[in-house]
Amino acid sequence: MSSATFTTTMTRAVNLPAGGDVVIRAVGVNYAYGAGETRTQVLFDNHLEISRGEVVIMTGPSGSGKSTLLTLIGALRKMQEGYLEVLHKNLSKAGEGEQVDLRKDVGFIFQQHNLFSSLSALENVRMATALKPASAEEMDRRCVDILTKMGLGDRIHHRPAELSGGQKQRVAIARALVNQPRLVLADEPTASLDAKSSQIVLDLLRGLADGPTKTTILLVTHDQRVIDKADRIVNMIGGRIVTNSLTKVAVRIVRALAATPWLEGLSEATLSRIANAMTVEARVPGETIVRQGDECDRFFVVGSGVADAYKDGQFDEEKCYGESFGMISAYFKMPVPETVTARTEMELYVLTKDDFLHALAEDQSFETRIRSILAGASPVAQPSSPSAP
Amino acid sequence: MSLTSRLGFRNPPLAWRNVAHGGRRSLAAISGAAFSLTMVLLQLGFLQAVRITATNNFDVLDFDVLLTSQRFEQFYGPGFLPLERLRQAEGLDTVVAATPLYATFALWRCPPNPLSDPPSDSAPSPGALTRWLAGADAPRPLQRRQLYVMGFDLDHPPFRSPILESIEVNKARLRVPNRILLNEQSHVDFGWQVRDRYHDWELEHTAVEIVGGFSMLRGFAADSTVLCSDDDFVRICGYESRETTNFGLLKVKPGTVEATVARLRDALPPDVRVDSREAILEEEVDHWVNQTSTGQLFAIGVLVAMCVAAVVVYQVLSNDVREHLPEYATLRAMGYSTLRLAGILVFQSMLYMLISFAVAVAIAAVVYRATEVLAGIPMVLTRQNLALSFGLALAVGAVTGGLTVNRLRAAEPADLF
Repeated sequence: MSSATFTTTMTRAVNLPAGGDVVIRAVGVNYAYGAGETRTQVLFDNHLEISRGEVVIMTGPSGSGKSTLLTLIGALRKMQEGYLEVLHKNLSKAGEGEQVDLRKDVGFIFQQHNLFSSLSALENVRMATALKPASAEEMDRRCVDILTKMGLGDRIHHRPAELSGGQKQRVAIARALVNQPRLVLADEPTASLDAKSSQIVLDLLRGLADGPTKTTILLVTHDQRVIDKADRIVNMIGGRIVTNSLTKVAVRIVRALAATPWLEGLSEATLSRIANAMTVEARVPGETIVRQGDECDRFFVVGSGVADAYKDGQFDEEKCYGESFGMISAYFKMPVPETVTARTEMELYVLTKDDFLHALAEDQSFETRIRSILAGASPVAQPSSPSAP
Repeated sequence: MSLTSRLGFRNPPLAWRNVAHGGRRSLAAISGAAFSLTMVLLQLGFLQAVRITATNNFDVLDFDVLLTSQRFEQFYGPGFLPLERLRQAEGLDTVVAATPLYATFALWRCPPNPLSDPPSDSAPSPGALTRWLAGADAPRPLQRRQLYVMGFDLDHPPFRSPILESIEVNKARLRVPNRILLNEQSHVDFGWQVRDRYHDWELEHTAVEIVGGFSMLRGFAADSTVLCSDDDFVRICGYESRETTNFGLLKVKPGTVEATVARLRDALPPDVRVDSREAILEEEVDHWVNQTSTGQLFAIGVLVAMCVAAVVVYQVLSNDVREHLPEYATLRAMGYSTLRLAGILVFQSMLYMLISFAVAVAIAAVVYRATEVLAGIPMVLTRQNLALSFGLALAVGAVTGGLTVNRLRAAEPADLF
């Protein structure tokens, strides 16, 4: 992917990092197994930015490349092509020592518990604290605390053979989290847990992300309960990130789109696809965004800030969070119905004509609906805001 | 709080727990390594016995400087030198006394067992194991075997205590021809135990009488020793006269050993060699330990036993790592470096060896005693040998643990996802 395309991808509203402190930055990441005739490429030109404190879910079918990407982010493999920065460390050319150092700041949760059968639950967790040593008492206290949080307070001296499958997995999770890692990489962490244990683990992960450590959590899972806790969902297919949505922003945009009369009635899936195509733009106070009567090729949703709408020179209404304005004049054969001027600094989610036409071409229901609107078959005859006269 | 925390350890005792909870695997490693270390201790014990017996013969003799033939090889092959050389040596003002010692191998008539009903010569002889287990009770026909004979001037016996006392007690009886003293620690076949019930003793082809005994360690070269007067020796062993002897034992004035050796080397003809006590002991040990196959055999035995221990522990440790690859891969994922994991494996390997060493020492103590009783070889577990085998155990542990680290390469943390 070219840098221009990357820029476009990265400015899409739902793709943006949730915060300013980006702890995972992948640019054009490719990866292949084998060499020569047996070379099989599994990652193709992947771009991703994740902020500190985000809970990110990675989904995708088996063989989609999500595990490979996770192992690259976890410094478990050497990078081949592209740029990868994790916890502000460049892994593109990192050596073995740098990889090992980075991994001390990462908590790994695997599908298998991989506990040493000869060690007690406490000692298995202590294997992790030994990497960030304090006094023996302090390390014990940290281990006992997290095991107690995991509901294993009365099992700390039990060996794995004396624990159930779920208890063993909780010990493994405690081992991954005891050092309060800056990044947690987890592979189906709740797969072998019952509902109650899952809830405990998910609350703990969410708490780490929202707490003072603002731990970034990256999970491969298909568990719907986990998806509900996510800030971002990354979907991979065929070695490519096909969806990278910041869920709060996506929901915000979809709600605004759903409230737009000429998009009314479209399915959530279609609205999500349109939302995924929207980019972000900033406006300063006093800046006129669209002018009544002009030809326009963009549709706007207010992300933050306030704008004033004028019709025929008269103040008409305020445009706040989630409200929309603008027009794709070339398609709807209409000029902009109102003038909109930024009152404060604003963040706008923008659907361009090209992306609109692209969505139109991809989505038969959307095209049909628009054509119906244009043909006057819809009760919503005017493709304008609800407040239009 | 866990026990290790109470003891102030920061790292969980993974290596120790793997050994303690290893079940059959740990048992296999420890028993295999303990067996090998027992073999090492035995080989070192034998080697030590070679050292002891190499010097034992000289240890019982009272001298400061030794005159031997220029063809002297070792105590049991001393060569001949003229008695005149001793007289010449006595001419030096630093030489206090010069005493000849005659020594050679001779055939001894070993009594049959049992005395009352000996097996015939044509009867099939029992197997080696049967004889070994039966010890003194093993049936055996009348036979002739070689032993070492030492003859000396009864008025100047060149021996140290306690042999000197044994000679003094029996001196009067030894003056009667064909009377001898037999080593009390002789191999059972030589008949010391039946000396009061058997009377047909023969040395070479001369009928002799045992008038007493003396206590002297047996060696690898001779299973028994006989002491007699120089006159008896010359006659029985076929020496032409007392003018040809085998050893010249010189006592010198205190502090003059080196000077006397130097002066004698200058003064005496080249058919004789002159050595201090210290030098001859050193040479004797060197001969038996380094120049004969005996010492090399035991040294190779030590090497082979250590290799066996290494192979056993390596196999067990490798299997252990292979079966715990996901656990080790998880540790690598967590940030454990290969060096740190190697430390765990080396420590685990060391633990196997240390436990095995303790077991081996206990077994060796029993086997030493049994060997001493059954074979009559002086088996002494010296501090040096204990330290050497301990060092070898640790070295094997370190090397084996180090080699097993290669197995960790298969513990690929990326495969855990």
